[in-house]
Amino acid sequence: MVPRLEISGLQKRFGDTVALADCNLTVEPGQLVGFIGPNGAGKSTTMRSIMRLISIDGGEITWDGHRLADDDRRRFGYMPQERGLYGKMKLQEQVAYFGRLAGLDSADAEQRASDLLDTVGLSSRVGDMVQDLSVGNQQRVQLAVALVHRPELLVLDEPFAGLDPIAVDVLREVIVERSAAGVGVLFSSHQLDLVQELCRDVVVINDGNTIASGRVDDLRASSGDRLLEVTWNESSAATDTWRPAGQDTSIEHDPADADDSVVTLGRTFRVDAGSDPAELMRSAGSVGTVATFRFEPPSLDDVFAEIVRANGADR
Amino acid sequence: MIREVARREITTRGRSKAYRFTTLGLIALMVIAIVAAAVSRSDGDDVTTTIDVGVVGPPDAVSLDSDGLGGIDFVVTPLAADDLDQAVSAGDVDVAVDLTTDQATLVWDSAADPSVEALLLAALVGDQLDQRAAELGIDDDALDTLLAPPDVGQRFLDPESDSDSARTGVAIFGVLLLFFTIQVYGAQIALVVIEEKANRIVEILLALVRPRTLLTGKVIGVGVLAALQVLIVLAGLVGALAVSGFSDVPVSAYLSLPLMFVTFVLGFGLYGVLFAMVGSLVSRQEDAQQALLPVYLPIFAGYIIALQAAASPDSLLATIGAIVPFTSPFVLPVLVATGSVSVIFVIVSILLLVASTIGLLLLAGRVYEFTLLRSGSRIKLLDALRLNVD
Repeated sequence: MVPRLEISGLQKRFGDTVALADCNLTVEPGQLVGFIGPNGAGKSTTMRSIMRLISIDGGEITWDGHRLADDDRRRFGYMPQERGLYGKMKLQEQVAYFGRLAGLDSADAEQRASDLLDTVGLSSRVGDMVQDLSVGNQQRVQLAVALVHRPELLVLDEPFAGLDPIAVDVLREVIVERSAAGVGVLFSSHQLDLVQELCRDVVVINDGNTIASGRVDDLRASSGDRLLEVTWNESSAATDTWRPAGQDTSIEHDPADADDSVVTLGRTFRVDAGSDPAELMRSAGSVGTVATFRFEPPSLDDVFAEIVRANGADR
Repeated sequence: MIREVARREITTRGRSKAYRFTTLGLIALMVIAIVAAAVSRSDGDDVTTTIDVGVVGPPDAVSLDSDGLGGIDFVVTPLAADDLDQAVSAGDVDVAVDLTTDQATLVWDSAADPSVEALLLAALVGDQLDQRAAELGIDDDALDTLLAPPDVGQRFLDPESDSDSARTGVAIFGVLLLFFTIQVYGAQIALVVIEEKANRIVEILLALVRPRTLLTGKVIGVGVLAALQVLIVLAGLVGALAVSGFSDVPVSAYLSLPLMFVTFVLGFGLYGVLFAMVGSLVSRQEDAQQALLPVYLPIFAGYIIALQAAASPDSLLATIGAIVPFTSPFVLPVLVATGSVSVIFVIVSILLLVASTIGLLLLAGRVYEFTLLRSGSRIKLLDALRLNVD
């Protein structure tokens, strides 16, 4: 059984600056947790605290039911926000070196290194120096370094930042595969579409405080708004001017806007969460034949902005 | 884990062109030194200078015998009086003796060679004394008795000998070796630390190993590479001493070599930790030189005190220098090479050195922990220490 990580009431200050005031989160075995928050919210500080790179001023981090100790870190895989590798070291050697540092024996480290480099698609370059790789490929090596010692928890600080689409796919596959194997994953990202797609759970942090956490779906559903997107089989003057009746709606997207680069035929409205979808559909059907109709909570992106704004207004 | 960190330093650094070239260069230099020592020895056994002496007058009138003094061989060439000046100025002969005048004259080209002059004068005086004694009716026995040198003995309180110069030579050589090696390789440790900090890899390293482990591994790894080169040089020195012409290299000179290696290892440990700690205070290589300046000061102090100690090993400064940890790696081997300290003194000095290295390592571990994840402007050491205590 893979243990869980639990953080409660975490506090950290740097001089007069409060980096973490009250940070709480839990990562269960096999759980993929998205860790989101504006720049400077305290995501990296929290992750560095988990890796014991910085001391904490208050609160507690527990692993497997006990207070986190130095040796526990060897069971974690870490990708810091600012990546770093030895430029003048060969790929295979480098990954195996970190494996040995994490406690693997030499043969195991070599085997794991070559397996992982194969997984991330760099098997043909194991003998190359890291400095001769493209930035995207260096990120793949970085991922292999984080995984080489079969960690039971992955702590990934902005793992998708700066990756090309193919590398994003590789990383996504690896994360999902590890998670399915029972490894807890905590990753921070500003690419909320990716977080929404990958994670069932998120933790939102702002100014050093956990301001929301839970299932992505619940968080989205908790929004007071819904997005309504309608397309008709044929557009007409009536469909072009149709608006949901009886409420103060805003038009999110209208294909008639010439400078709108989004390629979709639908017209999208932001409506109250309490609206009756059946009623809206009937109204849209009265101006033309409805081809598609979507009524859904706003994206994580929108909800995130809402939550952070509300949190800022509260204080 | 210390072993893994050290092993990486040894394999990556040891494989670098710079290290391979300098190591091969040192081996070549040492072979040359040993060969040169062997050659100079065989030269020294039969080195003689031949002096051509022109004699105007009866050639057997002057009995030239160098008596092996200074390895000078006289070759006497009879000269005609007319050719005398020409032969001297052309360099056919080194000096000419003109016996045709009432007073014997030595004819030189421009300057007299004092040792040749002394030998020639002695020979001429001897000949003239014999003549005068015969004129005065003094027989040979009486003359010998008269001329017998006074019986004066000599006693040297601090005799100069080959063994002294061997001792001092070994000591100074050792000091120079330590001085350069600690500086060059110490600076390398600092640069590695700065590099790891600059390229951010330190964050991944510290997520796996403790700062002290990382630091110790680095000092050991770079130290092993440095030690290998020091051993090559020391082996060359032993080889050169063994085949050199020194009549008796004292035991203490040889004894000082292993000790020199021990103080190198300990001194390198102490300074390596110091270099790493100070290196961790800066984030860019450009800032390194300025930040490292305070580390070079005790190294220079140790070097200067050590040279002074080679000249006067019994001075108070030498004694203090040999016991204070930051200068003792340089000064202690000098005092041992010159045979001027007791075994107890050596043990105490080494224990102090070990204790301060351990103390500094503990301190450096904390500084390292605080500074390694901070980039940007240089961190003051005092800040690093103070904030860490908070």
